[in-house]
Amino acid sequence: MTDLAPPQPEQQLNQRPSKPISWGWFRWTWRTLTSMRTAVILLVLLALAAIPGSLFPQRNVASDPAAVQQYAVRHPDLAPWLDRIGFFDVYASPWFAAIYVLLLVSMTGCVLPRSLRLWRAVRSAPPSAPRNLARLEDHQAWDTDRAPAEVLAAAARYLRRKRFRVVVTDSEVRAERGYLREVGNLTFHLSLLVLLVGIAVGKLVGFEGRVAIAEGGTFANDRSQYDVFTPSAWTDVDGLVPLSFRLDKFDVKYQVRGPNPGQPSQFSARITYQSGSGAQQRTTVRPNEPLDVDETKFFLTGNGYAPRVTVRDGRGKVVFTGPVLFLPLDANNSSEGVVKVPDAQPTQLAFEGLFLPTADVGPQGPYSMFPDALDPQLFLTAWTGDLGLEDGVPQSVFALDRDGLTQVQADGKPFAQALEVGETMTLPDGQGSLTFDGVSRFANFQIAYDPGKEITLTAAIAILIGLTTSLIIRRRRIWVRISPTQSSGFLVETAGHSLTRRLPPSAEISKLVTALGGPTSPAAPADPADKDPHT
Amino acid sequence: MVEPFSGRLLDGNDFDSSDLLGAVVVYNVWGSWCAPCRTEAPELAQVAADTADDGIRFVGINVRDNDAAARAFEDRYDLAYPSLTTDTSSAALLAFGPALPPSAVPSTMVVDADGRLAARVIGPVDASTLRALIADASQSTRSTQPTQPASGTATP
Repeated sequence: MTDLAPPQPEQQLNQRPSKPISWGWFRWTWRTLTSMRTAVILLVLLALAAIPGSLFPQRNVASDPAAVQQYAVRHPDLAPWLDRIGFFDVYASPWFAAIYVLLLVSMTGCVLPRSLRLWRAVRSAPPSAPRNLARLEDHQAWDTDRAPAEVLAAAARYLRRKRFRVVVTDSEVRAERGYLREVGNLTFHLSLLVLLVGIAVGKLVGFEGRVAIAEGGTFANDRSQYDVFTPSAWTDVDGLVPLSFRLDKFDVKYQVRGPNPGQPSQFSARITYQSGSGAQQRTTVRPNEPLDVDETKFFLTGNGYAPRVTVRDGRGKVVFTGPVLFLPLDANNSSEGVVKVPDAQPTQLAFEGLFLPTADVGPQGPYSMFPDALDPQLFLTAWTGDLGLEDGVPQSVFALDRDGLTQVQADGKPFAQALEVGETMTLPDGQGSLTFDGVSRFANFQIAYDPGKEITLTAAIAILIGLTTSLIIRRRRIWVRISPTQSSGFLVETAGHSLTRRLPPSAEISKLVTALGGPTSPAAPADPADKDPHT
Repeated sequence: MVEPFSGRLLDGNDFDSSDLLGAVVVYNVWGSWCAPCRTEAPELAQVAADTADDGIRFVGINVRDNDAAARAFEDRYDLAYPSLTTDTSSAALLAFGPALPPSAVPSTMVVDADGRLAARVIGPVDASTLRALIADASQSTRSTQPTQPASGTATP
């Protein structure tokens, strides 16, 4: 090796002008990036970068899709700037992705070479004894008359029985124990990688969706059934878990007394579901108790009213009958909604207005006094004409496109009517009618599929086990050496060495010494003159 | 393969997809609320009428709708073929999962005489495309029929 050393600087000098500087720079960057310190810094950065995600409303969060717009209305000056730096979409913003990707690269570059080293350490044989055993812990030496091979064989047998990894040579026995420590260490490092992969898989393969279903309504887990469906880059949109369910009943209890009357105290959605070709099952979904079918989780996130109506057209034919979702506007569930009847003849019909679960009329107009359906009323106006559906452009079921519509008038004013359950509003000139049949509720489900969660959990557990193992297990070595003395006999030496900060079990060597017929008391070593026989 | 499924039709009759084995069947996922469904409805009605004599069957799969509105839709567009009700259409939607699910409204699936999914169209379908897909499905059925044992072991 030393022979090769002198030409090296020369070579470097020769190469320097021709070699691109970027190579050295690249190596430096790679080393810095893959150092443990950089990984830790990036991890802290990632945690810091996630903070705005919990401080500001986020887009594509299915539970509250209107939150960002509401924030923008409340903070018209700040919101555009926050939007520009991605604070409403933190987890999808370029800077968040940059930290994440750097962390991933850093961790991989740091952990993989380490794992390779650890793997080699796990498989390595115990090394040969240092020249001077007396410098080590628990050094003992004594004279013996027995044949060297016999002593070494006895030592090897004893140490093997104590589950040491043993190598026997002509003059010494090398033994090592506690390789499990490196296995634990390896587990810790590899699990760290798996953890990152798990998080990445969840981000790339998972999806989020939202659907509102009225009582009695059904849902099949097909993309076509979702109100909102947000897939990730590699989501298998055609491979959603086969599942269907019906919302049998949605219950909500409101506090009538106490400091917060009208505060909901309990939500529950009773559903009948069928997964794959399995049997029908019943269950109840509550907040924080989602329906979980093969990692696809259905969370109950909201609710509202869906008044049931029957619409007859100008010919007297029933052209609509069923619940219509009305979106809640306030804490007392004043709700607004639209009934579109595109196949009413001779003219299309639409109804628009308010649903009030506990109706009252104040100076500002009709409002709801209480969120529960104690005195439900519908306040509706009617429209006729063209709903704008025929040109094939999809439109929201919650809004009217008024371009082709005219409001139904009576006595020169818009025709409007308040309906209690069972009442019918009949449009003038025989254009049709609407009957308020009853009140159903609807439940809003947020659907999340994050297949990485289990990987992440398993990896996290493995990290803990690996770390604990590597801290608990004491990796240590023991050597037994036999060498001829000036007289006809032989000198036996034993010594140990701990590879961890923790001391090896104290009596380990003295028991070995006893087994080999050496001095029983560890405090009484053999002749001090024999301490270093190799000099 | 498309799993066998059953349900109730808007006209009140029962439906079982296995009754249609041996015929090319066009399944259409639709809702009366769905604007693109309105542009394709006349085309579907036309192709259904034209191919009825060739033994081609059409079945609608009504979704996220109410039966009265769905019947009014059928009435307006003179849809002569039957449709599964919204309440019983979940099984139909999931039946296509092992092959390719509908995944949008409207979607049109062509199933050949052996009960295999031959084509899927996401979004509104036009008459000429549909006719071509039906012709392909009829062709593939006829050509694979003599080699029935082979197709039993190797499903595409």
